[in-house]
Amino acid sequence: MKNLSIIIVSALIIIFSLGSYDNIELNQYAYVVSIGIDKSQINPNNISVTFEFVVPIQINSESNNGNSSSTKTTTIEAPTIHSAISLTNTYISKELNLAHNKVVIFSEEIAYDGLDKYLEAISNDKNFRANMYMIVSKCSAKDYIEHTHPSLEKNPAKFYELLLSAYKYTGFASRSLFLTFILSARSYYSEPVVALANISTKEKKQTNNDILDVSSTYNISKPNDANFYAGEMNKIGGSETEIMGLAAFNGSKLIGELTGEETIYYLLTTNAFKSSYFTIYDPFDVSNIISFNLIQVNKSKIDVDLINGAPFITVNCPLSAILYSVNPKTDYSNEENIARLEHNLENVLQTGMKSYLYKTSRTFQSDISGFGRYAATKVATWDKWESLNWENLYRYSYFKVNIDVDIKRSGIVFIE
Amino acid sequence: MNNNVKNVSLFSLICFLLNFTLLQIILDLPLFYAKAAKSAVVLLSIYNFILVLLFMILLCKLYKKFIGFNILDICNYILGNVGQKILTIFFSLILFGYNIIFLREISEACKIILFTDTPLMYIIIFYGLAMILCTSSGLEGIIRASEYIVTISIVLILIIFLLSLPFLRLQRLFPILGSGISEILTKGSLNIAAYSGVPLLLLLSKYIKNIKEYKKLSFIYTIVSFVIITITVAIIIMSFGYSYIASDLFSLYEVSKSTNLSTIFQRTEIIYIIPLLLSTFLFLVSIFTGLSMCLNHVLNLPETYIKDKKVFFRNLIILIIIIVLSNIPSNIYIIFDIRKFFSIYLFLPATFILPLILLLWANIKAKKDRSSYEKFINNNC
Repeated sequence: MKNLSIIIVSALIIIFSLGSYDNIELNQYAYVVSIGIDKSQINPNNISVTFEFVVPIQINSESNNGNSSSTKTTTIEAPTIHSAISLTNTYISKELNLAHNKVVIFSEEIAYDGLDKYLEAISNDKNFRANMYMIVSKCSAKDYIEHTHPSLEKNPAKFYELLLSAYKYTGFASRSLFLTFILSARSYYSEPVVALANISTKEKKQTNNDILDVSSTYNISKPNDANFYAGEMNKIGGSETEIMGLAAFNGSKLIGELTGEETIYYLLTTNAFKSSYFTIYDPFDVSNIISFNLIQVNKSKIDVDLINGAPFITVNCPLSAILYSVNPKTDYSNEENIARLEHNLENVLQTGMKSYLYKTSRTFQSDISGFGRYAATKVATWDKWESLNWENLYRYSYFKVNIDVDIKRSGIVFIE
Repeated sequence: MNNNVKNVSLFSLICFLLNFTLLQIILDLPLFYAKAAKSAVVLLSIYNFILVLLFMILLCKLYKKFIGFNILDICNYILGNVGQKILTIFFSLILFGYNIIFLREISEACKIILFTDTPLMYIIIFYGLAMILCTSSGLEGIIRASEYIVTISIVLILIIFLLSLPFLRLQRLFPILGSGISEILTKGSLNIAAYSGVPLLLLLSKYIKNIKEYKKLSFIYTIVSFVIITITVAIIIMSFGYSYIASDLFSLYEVSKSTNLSTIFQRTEIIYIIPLLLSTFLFLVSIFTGLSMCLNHVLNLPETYIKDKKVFFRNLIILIIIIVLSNIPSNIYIIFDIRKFFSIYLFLPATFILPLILLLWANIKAKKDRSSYEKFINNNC
């Protein structure tokens, strides 16, 4: 027992004594919640890094009347992220701590040039968390951070957490973690995407008539739920910034963007879709619209075959739908009508998904849905997989989409 | 202080051996598996298991006549006292080398992951302190402590795996044959070094009463190690994919860093830190004790002799040499290269080839010269 005690005490010495060397008081740190990375406007070899750090006293203060922000920002020009951290530490009186950083924002401009060097720097630093979020901003990252004012949540970390997990019930963005990005960027069979953000460009409109302006990307075949990019939302009030759609990459280079609606198809093909409201024209009266809550109950079944050297990708996607706004003149309890409605909804979704898939293969030439994973199951070894050259082959893909919608019920009101 | 190890349970012994496998899982085993087999890590794990199992079957068969003796005693039987001394010095040198390599590598791991600002020397000295203190508490205490350390470590690693379940993608295990059968069979065979508890079986056999118990210990260790290794490499590859793991030093740490327990408990990597510290501590203490035992053997002292002050000071001087030497390599990459060299050219032959040759030789000698065998058994009993 005595010997055992010696060993246990020695283990405890190791655990508790070593840490005492680099211990630091909590209030000696400035906790960063978001980092924005832009191209430098002064020196092309530099980057402009914006740090948003919390002012803990403002978060805890009961008397916060909304005038004082719970965060402060600072922007600095430096050759790398780490030199920016170092330089910032010289003037903020506290040491920047990145352990609680929630989001890293890259401007669209810098993302088009490729994010390789930043990814390596971030993933090599143990202080950055792999499960922090990542965003590409159509405006500068600095502007995005400065225009983001959490109004319903005092805690900025929680604000970002909630904002970036809203995709679960909107379907207009994806779970855009730094880890998933880097895994896909380094992977041989899928390409990364991240959430797309912007300052609301139509924010200044003040009248309800302005809200009806749908000049951006109005889609005539379908009522416009979210067929636009971040920044194009017609809205008054709320946050000055918005997250809508995805930025699609090839490796670490940005190659294009997806609208909110296309993002739903991305989520469906990657089995990350939870639910979303979806609107179509009423097949019984085209002047009316019908809205559904689409829910993915079972996973999409994906099969990849190689026919004459080109990938033939089949996507079978079972969905459930709950009927919400409807035309009161139509009897939806009639099975025939329900079947027609289902068929119509399936057609709209199939057309939309095909358009999304061909956009990724022909326009982006980037397998963001990760069909390569399924193709890899068809070959035995890595040598064969590499000789297949999936990255190049994907652009020749053909798609067959089967969407099976099952309208389960209406909402609370019995629709007849 | 208790100098014998005859009172420890089979469970403690299994835990003691398992810690050697666990340490590699905590450090860089997934990296080596992914480099050798790419996505076919599970296949490689099965292949290695079969190799080790065959080795164990052979070992247990050959050990039948020599139960109660370790490989050094057997060497004494076939090569005499001089041969035994040479082999002991050879084993001592391997252990001495491993002490240097792992003391530095483990300290570097702790510095990278945990104690970023602490000077490396400070970490090395603390580990050194633990090594000298625990070695003087005897092998029995160390084996008993491994019961707690290994159980805690395995439970925590399992928690990491449970938390990583939402990230798992079965397709990341494809292409199913990874780097190809021939590559797995050739390059992959070196990965049997993952079963690094095997050499202890050759040394601890002295303290095992009968062949049944020896078989039990060997097979349970092999099977449990196989299960742990397979689960680890499968989960890590399914979480990150081969391309990421092949350039990742501490993949288990990466997994723990990527998981969270809802939005409240987000720093789950602390779950990794505890096994890292405990398992590395136990490992270093074990190999230093092994070195001390081998030196006792060379100096004609009882193997587990630790009471003597002279032995303590001898160990202290050796530890100081180890600490100084472990500080010489200018960077961690040199340590990796030395470790690779040690593993391929010294550890694997000394663990899997040399003992089989010696045992085979001893068995042939025992068959041919019955009287010398009986004399050897009677003398040592």
